[in-house]
Amino acid sequence: MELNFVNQNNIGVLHIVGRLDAYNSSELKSYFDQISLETTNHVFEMGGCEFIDSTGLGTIVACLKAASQNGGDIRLANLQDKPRMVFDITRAYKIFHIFDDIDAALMSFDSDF
Amino acid sequence: MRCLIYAKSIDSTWVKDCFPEVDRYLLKLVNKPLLEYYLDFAAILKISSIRIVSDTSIKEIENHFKDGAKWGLDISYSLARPEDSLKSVYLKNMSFCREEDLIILDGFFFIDYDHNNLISYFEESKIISCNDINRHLIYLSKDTPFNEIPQLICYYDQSISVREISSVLDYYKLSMEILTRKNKSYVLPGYSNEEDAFYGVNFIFPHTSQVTKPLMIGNNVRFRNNTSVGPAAIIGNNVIIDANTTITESIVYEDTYVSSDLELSGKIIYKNRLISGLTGDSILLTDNILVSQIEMGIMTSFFNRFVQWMISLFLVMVLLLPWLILYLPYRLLKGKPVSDFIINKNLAIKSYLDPEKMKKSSWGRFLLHLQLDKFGLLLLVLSARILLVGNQVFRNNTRNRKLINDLPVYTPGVYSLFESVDAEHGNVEIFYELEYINNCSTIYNLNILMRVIWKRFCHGYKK
Repeated sequence: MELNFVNQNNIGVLHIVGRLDAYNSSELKSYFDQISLETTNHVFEMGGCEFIDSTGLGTIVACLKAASQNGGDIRLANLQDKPRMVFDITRAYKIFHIFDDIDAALMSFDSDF
Repeated sequence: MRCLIYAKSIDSTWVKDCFPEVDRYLLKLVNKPLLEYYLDFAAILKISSIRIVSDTSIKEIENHFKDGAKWGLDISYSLARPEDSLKSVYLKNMSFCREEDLIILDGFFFIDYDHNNLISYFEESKIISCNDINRHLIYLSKDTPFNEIPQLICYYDQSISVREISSVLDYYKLSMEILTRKNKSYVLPGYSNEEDAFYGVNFIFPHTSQVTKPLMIGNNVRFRNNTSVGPAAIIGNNVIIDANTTITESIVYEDTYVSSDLELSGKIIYKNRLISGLTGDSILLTDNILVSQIEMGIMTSFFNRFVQWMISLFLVMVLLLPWLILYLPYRLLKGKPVSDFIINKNLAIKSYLDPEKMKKSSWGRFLLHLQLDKFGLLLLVLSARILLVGNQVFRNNTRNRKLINDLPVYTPGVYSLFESVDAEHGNVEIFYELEYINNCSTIYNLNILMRVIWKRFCHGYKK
């Protein structure tokens, strides 16, 4: 899995590329803990994430919880069809704001709906 | 009239991708293998002799249908090479094909007909004809020379049509269509005492669960608390749906465990594979938490077997002296109260002390308190033929042989979950076996072992 972070007007954009599963999800959590020191609101750009399992999903939920405790939020952008199925069946779509593209996700912080 | 079924693999490569362990012609559509629909069709046309030709291994098909007696048909089998054309297959099976008029069912497809209409059509001697541009369904009269096969007759009519199943999307759509709109057109498995609902045997669901028609439930299915299944849900055989899960417009294929708190809509679940019925996307979940195959991996793990072997050795040493002092005199006086038990999935049989027979005398009941009936089985654990804790060791009879066949795996043990609970023998047994298969772990096994030993010691044998 590859993680690339960009600070865009105080919103942390994290590009997640590859598989997010039991073998590497701890890597995401540690990385997120580091970037949380810099930004409170985040967009996880999932366009390059081809697979996610229950551990990976649990890690994203843990990141969301951590962000909420800091007064921030995580929004998901460009979620691909296969990972989307995991969000569907676990009802995780109910706790995340999921956007078709990264611009819409960034704009959503401006409108703060 | 005779029927030649050419079960060729070329039309159905997608089945291998989505259902890797399933023989494509045994792929279940609404809990019924595709080939069974072909056989139903043949049976309606009063065909009694069928030849199934396959270009891959035919073993599974042959094991399933055997000689066809169950369907009132005479089925024979033959092999072809993958590159064989229908004409080659016809020529290779000439002696079968030329005897009478012939219906040829060529390839992987679905015959769309109404069971009742077709019977009346046939009785009125109307020409059976169909809309079949790909010529899967062919009628060939006895006198037609074989070299005319490519120009065979395909009339257009509404009585039958042929549907391609060329992708998992077609499979999903067709399954839903059969269940929701055409379930009266075919003979579907399960008991149906209300419209649009089909239930298999050994289906248990708590009063907190909810089922909504139309739906199809297979054999040996268990729902846990607060599950909601249907409308338009097809649940296969040997399935466990865990608590708080909702399933609508979905197919859960057989031998599958679906975890708790999930929401399945428009999906196909095959073991640990999740497929979208709407887009065809498929993912293989590797962590066995959300959905998984019901299997007994832990049972065969080296660590688990080693722990069980060590405990068995200890128990043999503890029981050896009482066995010599108490059991041998009992045997001299009362004889050897043994019965045949099944000790593996291949239905191998061995004779062992039967607690049901021993409990008839007070001496026997005392020996059961001390678990001396298990001594012989413990020696089997030491020779690695069964486990210390596993599935129940069943007596050899027709019902139990069928039950073992229905289980996805069967690895019997001296001690079992069923023995650790206060349950009666009967239809519930299979659920304890499925529950054990689903939850099996080394700790779980130790828990069962302690419970059974304690229960036996305090209360004796009660079943």
